[in-house]
Amino acid sequence: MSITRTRDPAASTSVDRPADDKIARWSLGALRILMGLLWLQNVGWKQPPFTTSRGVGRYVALGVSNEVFAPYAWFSKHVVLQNLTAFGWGVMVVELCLAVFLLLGLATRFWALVGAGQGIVITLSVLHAPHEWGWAYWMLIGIHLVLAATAAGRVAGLDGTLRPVWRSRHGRLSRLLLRCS
Amino acid sequence: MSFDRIRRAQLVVALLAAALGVFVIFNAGFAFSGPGERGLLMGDSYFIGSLFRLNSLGGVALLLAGGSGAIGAQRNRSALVWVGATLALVAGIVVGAGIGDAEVLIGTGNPSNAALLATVALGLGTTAWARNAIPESDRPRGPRGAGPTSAAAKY
Repeated sequence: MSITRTRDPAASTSVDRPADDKIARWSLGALRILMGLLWLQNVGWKQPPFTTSRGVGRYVALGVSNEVFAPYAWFSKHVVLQNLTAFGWGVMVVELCLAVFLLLGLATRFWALVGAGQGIVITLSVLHAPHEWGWAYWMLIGIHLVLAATAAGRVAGLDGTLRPVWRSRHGRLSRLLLRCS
Repeated sequence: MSFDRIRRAQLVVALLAAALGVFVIFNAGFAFSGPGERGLLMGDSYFIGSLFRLNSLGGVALLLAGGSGAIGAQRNRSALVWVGATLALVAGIVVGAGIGDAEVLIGTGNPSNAALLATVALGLGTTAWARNAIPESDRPRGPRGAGPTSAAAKY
């Protein structure tokens, strides 16, 4: 069945949907790069050795002493703090990947969801810690959800460039990347 | 045409890496209390300073990787792009290898720097892979000298 589209004369002069608007699309690309830079800078201080007096360990300890959500605080105290080295390396690797993939706009939907997840973990750790501005963490989560929902890697990112190639191939990796972008 | 789009994306990644390399080397030359830490434009800026606190060695790696990638993208030489990607990857591993060690050289051991180099490596690597994946018949022919015997055809 063929569908014939009739062009509305008014549509050529005005843009009604944000997705059609150049500024709206490029803003999403800029937002994605900004988030990539955020992770790039902040992975810099998440280095070993992991102790409760510095870096990631300090914030995990703050989440225990300034409880946000009781089950999470219990998990942090009895599991995360007992295995701080393993969790510290995990956080560093995840945030390093967030920086790399969001900056490139590669598999953006997947990594934006990972970023939102990481934002939730950070929120549960430090929302009630002293001198914290809680809205910063809600924004962190919200922005990543926006990046995932809008597939922000398709503008000024590798997703937009490489999707036609992935679509033309039938390998498992190509199909996976299509879903993640 | 996606072949040209990929080429442009590859060129952008490579040129940004090369420009960043020049910036880091230039900055390291102005460093007084440690390479990159108090250099031009960085010393008083926490944001920029902590992002690009690479030493001149990291800057050279970025410049070479970016330069190699840019020439490869421009001239349709995939081998050169792969050289750039590999160089960035190796430099990223060298920089990342110091993570957790207090006695490392300045500029190494910083996950941000390793991430920066990994970004260049992955950017060049994925675009090179994607270009190779496009069948010969779908690659552009024409005004840019991309005839059957040209560099593009050999790619």
